[in-house]
Amino acid sequence: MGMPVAHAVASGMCGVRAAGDLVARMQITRGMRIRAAKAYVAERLGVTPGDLSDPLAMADVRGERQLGRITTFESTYPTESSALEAKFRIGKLLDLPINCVRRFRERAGVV
Amino acid sequence: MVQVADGMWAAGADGIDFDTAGAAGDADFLATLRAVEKVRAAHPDMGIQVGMAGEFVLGMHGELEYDGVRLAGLRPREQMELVRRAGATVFGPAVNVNSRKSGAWNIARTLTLVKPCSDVAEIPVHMNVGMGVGAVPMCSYPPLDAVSRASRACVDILRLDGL
Repeated sequence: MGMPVAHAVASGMCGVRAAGDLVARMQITRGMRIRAAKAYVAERLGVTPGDLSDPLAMADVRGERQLGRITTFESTYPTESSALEAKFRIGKLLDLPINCVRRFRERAGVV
Repeated sequence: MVQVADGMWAAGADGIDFDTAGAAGDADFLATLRAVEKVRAAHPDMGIQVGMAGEFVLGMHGELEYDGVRLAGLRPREQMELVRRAGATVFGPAVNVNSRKSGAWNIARTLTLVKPCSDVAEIPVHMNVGMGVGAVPMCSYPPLDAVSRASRACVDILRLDGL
């Protein structure tokens, strides 16, 4: 546990607590470098690139847009999107194909 | 490698990481590059990361080429260019530590070897910074002060896209 925590504190973006997962998706799927990926995600969310690493700011933004939060589960917040529901919204927000969402649509017969 | 990637994609994965590419030398690296080509052709939206085994592709064969470039002896900058050409979306350079030298010495060496790569990269560079590579000491539970210094130095000086 020690090494990942040291990396997260020294140079991380806080993952799902902030917008690290959204920036990572643009890098992994679109091959964008981090500056371009941050600018794209910030523009889509209507925030500044600096806000993307701020867990307090992003908790509100993610909650408003139903993008999933690390404290949100079906049992604790039954009216909010989490897990795959949030991925549907993330794919639409970022205009990004998400494989598991596409699979879910195919298998559930959802257009 | 292709079969595993196909299976992961069918199961809903966002992407795949070919880790420690080139660990067995130039033929190993060539196989990885060819696998990346096939996976990219089959799954255009799949995230593909290629992480290297070291800062120098060993010439176990010596004359193998990819896209007209001899693989033996390639450094991170040239490794990254071939990985990009093959169709990967993320490149992970690796620099092995010299366990007889200090943390500062290893950080300086790591930065020197990767800087030419991160400066010109057209795809994200997610460097390997863990036990025994990327200036992190060679032990299962590396000291946190050494990890945080290596981590911060890589991000600030190399302008990395990820670790």
